[in-house]
Amino acid sequence: MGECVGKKLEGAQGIYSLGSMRGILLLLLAALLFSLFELNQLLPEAKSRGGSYSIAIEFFGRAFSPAFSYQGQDIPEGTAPLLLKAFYACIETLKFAGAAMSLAIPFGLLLGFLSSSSWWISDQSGSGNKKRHLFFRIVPPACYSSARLLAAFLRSIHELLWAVMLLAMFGLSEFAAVLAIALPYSGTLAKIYSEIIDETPRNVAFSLQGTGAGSLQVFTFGILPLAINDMISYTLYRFECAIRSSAILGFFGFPTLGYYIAASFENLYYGEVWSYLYALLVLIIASDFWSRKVRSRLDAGAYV
Amino acid sequence: MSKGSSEVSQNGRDTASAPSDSVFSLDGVSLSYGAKSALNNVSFSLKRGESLALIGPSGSGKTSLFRLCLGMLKADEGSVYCQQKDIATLQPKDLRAMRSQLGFISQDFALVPNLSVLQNVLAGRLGSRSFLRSCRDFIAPTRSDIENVHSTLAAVGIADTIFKKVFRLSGGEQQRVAIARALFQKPVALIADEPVSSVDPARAEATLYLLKELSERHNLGLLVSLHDLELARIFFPRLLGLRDGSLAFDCPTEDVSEEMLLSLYRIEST
Amino acid sequence: MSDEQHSSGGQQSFETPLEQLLREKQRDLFLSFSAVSFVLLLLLPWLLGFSSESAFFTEQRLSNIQRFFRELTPYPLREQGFDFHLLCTWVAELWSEKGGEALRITLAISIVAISLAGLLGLLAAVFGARPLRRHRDSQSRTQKLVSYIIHTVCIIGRAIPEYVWAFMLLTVFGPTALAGILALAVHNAGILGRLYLETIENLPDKPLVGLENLGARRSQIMLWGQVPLSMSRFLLYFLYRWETCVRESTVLGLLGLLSLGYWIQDARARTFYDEMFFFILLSSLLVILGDFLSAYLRERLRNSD
Repeated sequence: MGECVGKKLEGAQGIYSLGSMRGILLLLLAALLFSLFELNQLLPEAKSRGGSYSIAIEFFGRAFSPAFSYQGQDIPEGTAPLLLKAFYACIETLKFAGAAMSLAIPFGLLLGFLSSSSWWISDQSGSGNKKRHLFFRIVPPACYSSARLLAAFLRSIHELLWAVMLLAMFGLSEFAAVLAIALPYSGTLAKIYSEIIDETPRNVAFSLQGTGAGSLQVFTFGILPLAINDMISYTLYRFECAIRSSAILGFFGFPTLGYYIAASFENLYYGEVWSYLYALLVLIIASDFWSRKVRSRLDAGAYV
Repeated sequence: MSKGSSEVSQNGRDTASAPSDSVFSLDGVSLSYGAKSALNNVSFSLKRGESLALIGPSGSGKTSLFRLCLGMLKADEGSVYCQQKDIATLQPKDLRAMRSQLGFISQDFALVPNLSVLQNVLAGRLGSRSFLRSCRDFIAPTRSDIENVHSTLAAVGIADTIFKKVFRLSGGEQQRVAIARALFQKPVALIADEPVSSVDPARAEATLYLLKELSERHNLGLLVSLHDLELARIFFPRLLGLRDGSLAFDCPTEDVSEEMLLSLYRIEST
Repeated sequence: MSDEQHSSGGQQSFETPLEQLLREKQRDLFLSFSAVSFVLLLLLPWLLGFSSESAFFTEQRLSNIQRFFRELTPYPLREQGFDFHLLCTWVAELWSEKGGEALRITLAISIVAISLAGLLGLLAAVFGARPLRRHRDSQSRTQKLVSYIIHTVCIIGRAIPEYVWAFMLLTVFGPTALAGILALAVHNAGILGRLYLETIENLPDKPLVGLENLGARRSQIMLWGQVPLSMSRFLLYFLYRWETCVRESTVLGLLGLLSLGYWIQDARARTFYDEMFFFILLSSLLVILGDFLSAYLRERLRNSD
């Protein structure tokens, strides 16, 4: 049976040509073993420290019975009911996420275009003049490399770490939270945008060039329309991630869901924790559903 | 636009080698990709209203020839003239203007699938519009633009697909959109790269008939590359044979003999 | 008829059809609505304003920023000005005492976590994938239930951020590496599980149906058909998620694990911003290197196909 199967499947994209895949899998295995060994060495005492299973059971047990009203005793007068507070926390979470994306998208687009190798389409033929050719030989690679480096650097620092730095710089400011998400996200968006643009097929662009369109026109009408669906799709996914990042910034004191989760946890009001967790779940699932629907409509070719 | 007898081009070069009413002409053009020679001393010219079929086996350099005519490649030797002007001397702006006068239809149509037919056809005019103007055209096309596109589409027979997205159309309809786009440029010549290579005979005839009709109606030059010798014979009064980058023959169809055709397609046996 | 009144001197014979086509052109309401609401989501936060904002660039803030940048310079260099040797000693000290170990721990946690996630994701895909298109309707009840449960678990894992999982698990089980690894693994298993499921379900039918015609059972089709066909894709996603795992495992240190984040938090608590910045840069370097490695391996994978 093995040989028949093998021959049958060979027609299907050569899956048995593992070759480099085998190498990578082996590398993976080696890395895994090495890591386990390292952890064992470096953190021997950490294996059994604090915590207890009873707390775990109590906590996870309340997953099925989230609180609908405050669990604590002394609630100050005039505080909004729990569910309303959760709702407001969701709004705040969305606010931070939206503000961050409103900065990240334009900056990410700019950086992405500069990082893509196809932005600098220059005409090979025609006489042109020497200066123009020189310009095209020096400026693009410089812009391209520095844009890529900048995007990589922005990306490499986690939002929470950006928040740590920005908070130390600006003190407790909500704009710092927005920047803390916007900076790494512009780097990520830049990288993905440039990858999408670089991977679009060039036949339409060449064809438009053949009709006499200028470089900017070729890019806008020959490459961008082919890339736009993927770009929109990824941007919506990033927004979903921004909601998550915005939520965890609450652990640093900002009024998003994370703040309330941490606070309720500290007070051991596990029911409330689950209420907030479910609120976050609803936000994420709704966002995910929305972006999938948009994607399917775009693919089906609907007009905006 | 050409006017009568041969003119001396801007930098004083004698353009007697470019016939006076030619749309474009090649003169002793050679091109190689590194060590590999793609075209070798090719010369011919195309006039307005003339139809020419380029035949030859795959890899004989047909696509390179087309790219040369459009000025997308630079010839290593020889010159390419478009409307009596040497392409190599053109400034980028004039190069683009020249390209907008040549309607090229590539083999894979090169349409944007998720845009509408209207937008794809409008793209044909990008060469003669500024960037801002073309942005406006795409987002909110004027009524007269829409009507112009509609009549162009009517000329190729697919008027009612104007607002449909291209990926919803059949292959034949997409090809007509590509032809409409080339037509919309108001070119002086139509150049089609293998328009009927992978279609059934009935549709192939319809397409070639359409191309011929359009070129006759608007007095355009027509250059088409083909595999099928029969179709070439039926539709085109002049044939150009290309083999291994060299011109095997360039003569009226009735002068082409079986032997010439056979030698064009013969397989070298070692 | 109003159509004819609109004709502008062009032939009336196709004016009406064009008008008709214009009328029939549909605008997708959902997309328009989505576009508008997305723009609103981006703009409203600025209009609604933020609560604790007065003027952003006040005197106080500017002096804060200045102080911050002053404190960013490494401690030994503050008096002496720039001295390369001092800088190196300072760096070497930080590295040998805290940085080197923390880096290795960060890396190790990320690798173990993503491996676990990959394994879980693989299991999710294998047990949760819908069968071949031909058999979709005749799926047994238990199969559907299992598939449904797996999908739900993946969604929950995905939706809750790694940091929140880590916070929960580390508080409940104590600050052990295992808890941190589990937190990362659960979230990434949800992501990889969903991606893997989609990959399997988007496979071309032909080779699999061919297997079936040879008499293979469903589990054999899975083992010999679906998994090998998708393996390259699986690895691509795996490597892509590993990059994120490295970032996240750095930050787990903020919760008490001994990764780089721990020393960042530690330096910040003592307001040694120079040390803090050093560790942040170190983590950035780690992520960038991981990025390069992952990109290189992914290129190899893509080219080997």
